[in-house]
Amino acid sequence: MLIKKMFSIMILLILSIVLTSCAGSREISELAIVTATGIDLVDGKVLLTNEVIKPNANPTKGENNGTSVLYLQHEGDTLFDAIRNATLTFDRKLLYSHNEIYIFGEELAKRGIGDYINFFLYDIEPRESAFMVVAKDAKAYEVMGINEGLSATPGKYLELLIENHKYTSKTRSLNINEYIKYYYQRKTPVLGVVNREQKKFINHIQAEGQSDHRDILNVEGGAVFFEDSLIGYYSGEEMIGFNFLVDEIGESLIVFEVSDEFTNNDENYIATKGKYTVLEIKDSKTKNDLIVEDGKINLTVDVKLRGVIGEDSKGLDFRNLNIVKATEEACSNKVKEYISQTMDKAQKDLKVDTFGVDTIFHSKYPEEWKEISNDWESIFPEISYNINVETFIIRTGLLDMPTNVEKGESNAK
Amino acid sequence: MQNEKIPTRQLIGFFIVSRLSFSISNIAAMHVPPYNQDQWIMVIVSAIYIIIASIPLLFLANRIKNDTVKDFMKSLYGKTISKILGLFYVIYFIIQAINILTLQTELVTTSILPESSNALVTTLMIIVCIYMTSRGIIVIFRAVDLFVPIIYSFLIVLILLGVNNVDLSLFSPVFVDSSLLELNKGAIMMASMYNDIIVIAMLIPELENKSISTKAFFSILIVNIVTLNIIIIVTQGALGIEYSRHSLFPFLIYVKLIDVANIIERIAAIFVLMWLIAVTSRINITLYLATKIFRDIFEKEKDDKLMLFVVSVIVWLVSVAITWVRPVVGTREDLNSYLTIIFVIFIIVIPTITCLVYFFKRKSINKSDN
Repeated sequence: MLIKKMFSIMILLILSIVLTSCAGSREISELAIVTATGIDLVDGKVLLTNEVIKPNANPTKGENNGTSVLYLQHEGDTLFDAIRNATLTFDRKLLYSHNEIYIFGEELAKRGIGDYINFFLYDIEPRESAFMVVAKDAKAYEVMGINEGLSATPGKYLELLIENHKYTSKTRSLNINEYIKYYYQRKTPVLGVVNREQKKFINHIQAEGQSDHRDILNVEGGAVFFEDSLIGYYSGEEMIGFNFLVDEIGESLIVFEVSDEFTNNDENYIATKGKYTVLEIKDSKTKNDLIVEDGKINLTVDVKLRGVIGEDSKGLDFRNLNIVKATEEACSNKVKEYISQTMDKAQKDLKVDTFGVDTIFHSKYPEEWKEISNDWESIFPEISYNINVETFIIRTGLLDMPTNVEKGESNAK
Repeated sequence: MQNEKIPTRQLIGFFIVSRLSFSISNIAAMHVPPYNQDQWIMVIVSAIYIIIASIPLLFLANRIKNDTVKDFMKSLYGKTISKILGLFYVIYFIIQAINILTLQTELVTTSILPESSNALVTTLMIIVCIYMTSRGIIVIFRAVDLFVPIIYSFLIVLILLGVNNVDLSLFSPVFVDSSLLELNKGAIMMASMYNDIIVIAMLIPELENKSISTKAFFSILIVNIVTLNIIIIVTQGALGIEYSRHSLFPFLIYVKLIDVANIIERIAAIFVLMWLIAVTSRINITLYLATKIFRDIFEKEKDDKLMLFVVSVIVWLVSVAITWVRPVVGTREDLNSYLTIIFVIFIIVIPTITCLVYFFKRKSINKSDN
């Protein structure tokens, strides 16, 4: 009995030691936490640029003059090889669990990234939810190390810029998992982009010889891939159309002009009359449908959006329902313009279907799809389309008439 | 506890939990035809083949009643042949235990303990399983009352948290890209992985009702098929059809993608915990049955621990040896074809022959019973 008790106590003691998870542990003091990674191809080798947090730095920006991170560059035949080669010259092992950004240099993106992104999926450490972006007209490392926001690190700055896509819809956030999903589904993923731009310093005492310009990042636009290679870019406005087409529009703005016939009488203007009215989208739904008639494919894009008036410089009287209707129509026309612009770019310039029209065709005409699926890239540029947009203004904010117009009796024409 | 029996509620709960260990690991259903968005239809069709394949054992299970399996087989085949058959079934359960243990080791070392050695994980798991199995079948099944609510709560929460990543448009068009032949081929392959009926049949003497009712059998089957289909749909919807097939543990990736407002994220450990509980039940029952038949063959006492030790050491050594030299999940095609052959032999052929023998000998058996 005593032996049994002793044996049980021994087992418990051994288990309590083993189950503390200390076996093979990786202490924070031996790791380097990566917060952004740039991937380039130089002379056939992978050039990896990693942004690594300096553990002892004060993360408050300004106090350390942006030196809370280090940048490491390492080469290798593959991504993993380059990561491990880092340990030859850097004293800590890189940890990718917290990395939220992978930036691909344009040259590599044009060459194709399919063979390199495997690493993110093979290993448990990288997160499938990390964003992928393309450095437009640049190497990946050229857009790193810039932090003109309030974030603690440049990587976080870029990550938040990408997450801000919902406020403008002029770009896109696409993570590794979504990339793979779109890639297998459509073969034409659209990634976000990042540009390096220069802006003039404001409120800055310039030292002698120092440039009066500073670098910032801009994520406007989208990088269009065919299979795994970059083939072109969408502009910011084209991305609005794209986001409408794939039904991923956020709470962004539509800036449009309402015809002059609906504006106030000129004598009511007490301040400058502007051109634009702005609608903030609160909710939008796009339904795409295809029809094949006489061997011709026609795409119908139906958009229904609801929004609130966020700004009006033109002096519209929203007490008048006709003016509200006219504003809605003007907004709808602008959305149609965005979508047409994007469709034209995809059909005439890029000649690839980035919107998943093929999946609609596959779904609706499965038998015909089997015959044409291999020729879709030559069929897509030829398809006709019509766009229907319905806008509903659900609120006009705190004003029913802008401040540049004096509110008299019924002023509307 | 000696005279305690397993109630039907625990029986159903046990097989729901233990089957989940396969449904959320490498999701074998994604690796059979038609390999597209119609996998969920194939899973439903597989229910028909599972029922057909289970008929011989279901029939026999309800004939054992008050006998032990050993006595029943002995009355049909005589002492020597029944012992040889028993030995085959020991080997069958040992293979099953090794299959699950190696799978478990690879998932744990791949997902949460990448720095740990396979041997360490296998060793710790087998120690836990030996302990649980040594406490007896009643304890294994009683634990189910605790495990079912925990595991299903975890599963529902994980599915709901990740549902915003699911794109249901991927499942269109329905039943167009796959042929009836492909669906049936996949369904048969799926059915050949569903070996619960043999475990149920072996447990009949331990059950409160001394039989497996049609209602209980169908309850287990329906819950398992529905759960598997929900897991397949959310996983394929979140990862895409093709990537789900590439991934060794697709539901783990589904869980890794969960990010609710940057607050609830990185909860893969919950998945692994849930899976460990489920898979431990499965290993326990296979170890228990292998040991029980072994004891019967060598006519040992019911609570003899030596046989459990022998069976567990064999399972442990083979599992360590396999995981030491090769991956087990990524290279399963050969193994699956062997497992299919084993399934056909042990779940269809031997039970069908036994049914025929029973049919011819039933009068003499009934006479000797009276």
